[in-house]
Amino acid sequence: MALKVTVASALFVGYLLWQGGWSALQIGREAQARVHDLLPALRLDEPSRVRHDMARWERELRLPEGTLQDSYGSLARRTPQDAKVFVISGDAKTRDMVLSHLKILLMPRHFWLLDSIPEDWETKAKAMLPSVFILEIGPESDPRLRERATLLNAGKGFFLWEYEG
Amino acid sequence: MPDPLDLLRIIGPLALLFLVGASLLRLFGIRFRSDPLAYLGWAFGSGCLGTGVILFAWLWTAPDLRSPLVPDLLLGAAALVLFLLSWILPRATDPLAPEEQNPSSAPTTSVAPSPPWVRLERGFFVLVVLAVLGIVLLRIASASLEPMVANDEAGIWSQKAKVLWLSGGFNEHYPKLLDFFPTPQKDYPLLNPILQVFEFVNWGRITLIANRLPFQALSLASVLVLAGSLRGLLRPSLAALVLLMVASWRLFAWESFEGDGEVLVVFGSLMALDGWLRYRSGENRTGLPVLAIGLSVLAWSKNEALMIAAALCLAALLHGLLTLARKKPLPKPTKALFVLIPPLLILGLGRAVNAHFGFESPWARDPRGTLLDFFLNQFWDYGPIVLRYFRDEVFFYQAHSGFVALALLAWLLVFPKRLLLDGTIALPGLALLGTWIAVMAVFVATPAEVHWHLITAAKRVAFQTMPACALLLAAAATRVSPFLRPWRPASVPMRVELSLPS
Repeated sequence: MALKVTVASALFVGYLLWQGGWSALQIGREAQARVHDLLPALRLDEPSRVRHDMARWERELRLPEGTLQDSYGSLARRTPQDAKVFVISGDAKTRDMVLSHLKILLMPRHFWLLDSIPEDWETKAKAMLPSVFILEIGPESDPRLRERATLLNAGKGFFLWEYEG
Repeated sequence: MPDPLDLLRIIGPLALLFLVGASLLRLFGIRFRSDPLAYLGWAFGSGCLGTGVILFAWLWTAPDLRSPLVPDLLLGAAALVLFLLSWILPRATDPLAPEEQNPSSAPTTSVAPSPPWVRLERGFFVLVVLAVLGIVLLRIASASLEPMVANDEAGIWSQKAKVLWLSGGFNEHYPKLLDFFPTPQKDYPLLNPILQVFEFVNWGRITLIANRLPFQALSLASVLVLAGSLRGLLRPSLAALVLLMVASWRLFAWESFEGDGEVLVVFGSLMALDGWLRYRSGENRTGLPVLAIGLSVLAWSKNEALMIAAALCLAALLHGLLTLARKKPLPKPTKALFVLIPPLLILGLGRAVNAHFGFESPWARDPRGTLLDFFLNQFWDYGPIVLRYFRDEVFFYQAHSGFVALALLAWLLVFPKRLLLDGTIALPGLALLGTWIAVMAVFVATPAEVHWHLITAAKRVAFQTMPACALLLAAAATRVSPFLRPWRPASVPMRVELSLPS
């Protein structure tokens, strides 16, 4: 039994030396990579961090530079918290990716896709006045949606923000 | 440059959480000197639990969530009351607890000075603890550059917290808003969202980064609890190696980055196991409260807690059968069973809240059948896929958990008589084994596409119990091999005072 315990203990220590050594290397490498984040982490305020992160997402999702940052910046600055935002876009893929982020970042603002509201869209929009905003994501909107949005916008005191791709 | 008030908003809520926890521990007679390293972790975890309970009650009273005055005062008052109670209430004496010994009545002994190699090992341990705390702080700094916009932390946990804050507490708007801002998994436990609401209240608005702070602090607390527990079990150099190993795992690093429920499971399971090991080694005074609080955090963390609870029950049953098979008497029920009351109450509370609002798991109302139907129908198709995935990506994958589950299993199989018949190791060991089997069974029974479900969740869910597995491996090893235990000074009594019973 004593021999069995000695051999098992030696194997256990060997296992820990192997794992501990490998782990120390990993942690050392990670620390080197992360130390650059320390200064920005101490310096930046929350909006700057959000913009910094959105630039990263734009690269990761292969979106044109500014798509997320500009949409976020404009909406955060120009809409109240209870705003209803109608979204028009001809590029569904870009729209969905951007919206999934904006919905979380700008909650409780509520987003609707204009093309998902069929007949009574104008009535619904008017019922929500004055907190209806139009957001166009991506350069290729459906011209009919643009027309609707322009009609909706005319003289009603809300704006059309357009992304310049 | 950040607003100096922001610094107060960052530190203030965390300090309050710690204060509530420290007062709660003091009520049970647990002090900093009980175990300085682990204490800091226990206090923060206990504070999260205590704060969760207090704010849960407050959120039913139509509170004003725009001002931090009431909740902060409530928590401060609770800490004060607990502190005063710790002075007033008589304390039960436990002769086994080292912290109970009165220095003036202790026998006078001469303690041999520790040899140089022991001092060297202790120095190495201190360095490693500092290095690991350093890397966790660096991870927290990196994570603070990223708002919560993706994964479960944003889609489930933070979303639920935002809705709770927007509804103004638990009221009729709460379930409606959860539908309005489509939120999946409405039935998930509430400790995480409540702690995030605590941050929103202190910042006076919905935040995108600060609400992750309690969970990041819990990842730091997990390191402290693990370090303190390992230090009591293993030689310092070996304890340091285990700590390094756990800290380097990718998913352990993830705990410092995410504000989701995983860190609560990791912390709860570590604290509960730490309490259990201390209780079984005779530290009743510290062990039982730590065990109760750890189990309660675990019960309020994620729905996986139910699975772990079921695995614990089965483990107790199996261990009882093993004991009977050896013709040995079953242990008699003791007062220690009272530690199960708080976690059971929390599980019951979760069920009551879900029943009140009509929330249930989406899997429970799948028109295609129950989970058992799915399991039976898919067993032969999905079983091999799930087993292969767990083999390649969990148990035999170095970066996932350093083969620690295999190491524990091997150790138990090499010394079955010494470990499986002893409840200290057998109960948590069998419960871990049962949990892993249950996790695999859940993936076999998935109503979703199995590959997608495995890739998105399996490693994460399987990882939740791995830090506790590393701690249990250390405990199992030292139970068999005295060589691995920490050095203890040989005490030679210089003068023995005897007192005769009157």
